[in-house]
Amino acid sequence: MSAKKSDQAPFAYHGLDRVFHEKARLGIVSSLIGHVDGLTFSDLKALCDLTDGNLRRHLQVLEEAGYVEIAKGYDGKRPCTRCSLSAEGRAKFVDYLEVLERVLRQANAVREDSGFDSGTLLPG
Amino acid sequence: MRDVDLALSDISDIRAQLVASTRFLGISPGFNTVLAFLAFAVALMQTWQPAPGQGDFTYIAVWAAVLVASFFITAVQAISRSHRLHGRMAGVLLQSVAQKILPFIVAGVILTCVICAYAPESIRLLPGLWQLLIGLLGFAVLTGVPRGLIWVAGWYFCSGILVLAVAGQTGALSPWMMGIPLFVGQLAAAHCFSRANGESHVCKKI
Repeated sequence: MSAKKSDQAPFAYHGLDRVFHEKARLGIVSSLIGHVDGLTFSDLKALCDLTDGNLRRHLQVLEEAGYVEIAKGYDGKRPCTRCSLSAEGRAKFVDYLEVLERVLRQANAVREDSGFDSGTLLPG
Repeated sequence: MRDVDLALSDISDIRAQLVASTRFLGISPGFNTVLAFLAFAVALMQTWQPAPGQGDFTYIAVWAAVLVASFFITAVQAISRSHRLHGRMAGVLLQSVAQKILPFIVAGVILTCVICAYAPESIRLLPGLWQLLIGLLGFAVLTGVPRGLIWVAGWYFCSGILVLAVAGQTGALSPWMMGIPLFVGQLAAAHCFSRANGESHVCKKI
């Protein structure tokens, strides 16, 4: 079904999940990828340069989609919130990367076909 | 390097990082429990009703069959279960786990064949050597499996050394040299996988 859809409209990019396709959320997910045990709320805040409110809002979107798991616990006596990618989140992110890769390859092919090959995507 | 190539290379790196940091949950806890009780049952059977004229070769053949069957059935159920649990990542994860496990399985098979064919007087060392290999296999896959399995790998490593020492000193093979390590080890592995499966589903809201 999905393959048929993408055959009919190759530039529709149905698999480009909007939950991931947002700068802050992409940063959050990318930070969590390498940490199988997850990251604390404060680590994520520092890594993604987000405010408490922003980070909480984006985490909520990711959690509602089932892509991130959030656990509250204690680090010694201090309360600590730990966020990690769920199995579903990992699988969906692989799909997202695949579509992103396809976008880049198609863009590259179009550039080469049109004879424009300066070597960079962005001007300047 | 061009921007597009750089971006594609970044995506490839992220994907590799994703695979390396994903815990493989394809092994079923229930299945490990079944293997534990199978090992216990085989040891019990060998103790109560030893095969007529049972020698060291029969003992080794029985346990080799148990191990081969366990690996084969584990592989089959891991393939189907990981497709269900890991979705599209299953293929890459299975490949990554297989690359780490296969050298130990090949080493075990070659070791068994060589000792049986050319050094039958050392056949009593095989149960200990098998357990050492299972322990090392466990350590080799640690980064991709639930953390608790380090204790299971440690258990097999220690039991392997102990069994080697006992077999070398007594010069006899006991069914429990395989039965107890496999029973305890597989039950512990079942517990680890069960906990890891639970952790991946349980979470609390902020």
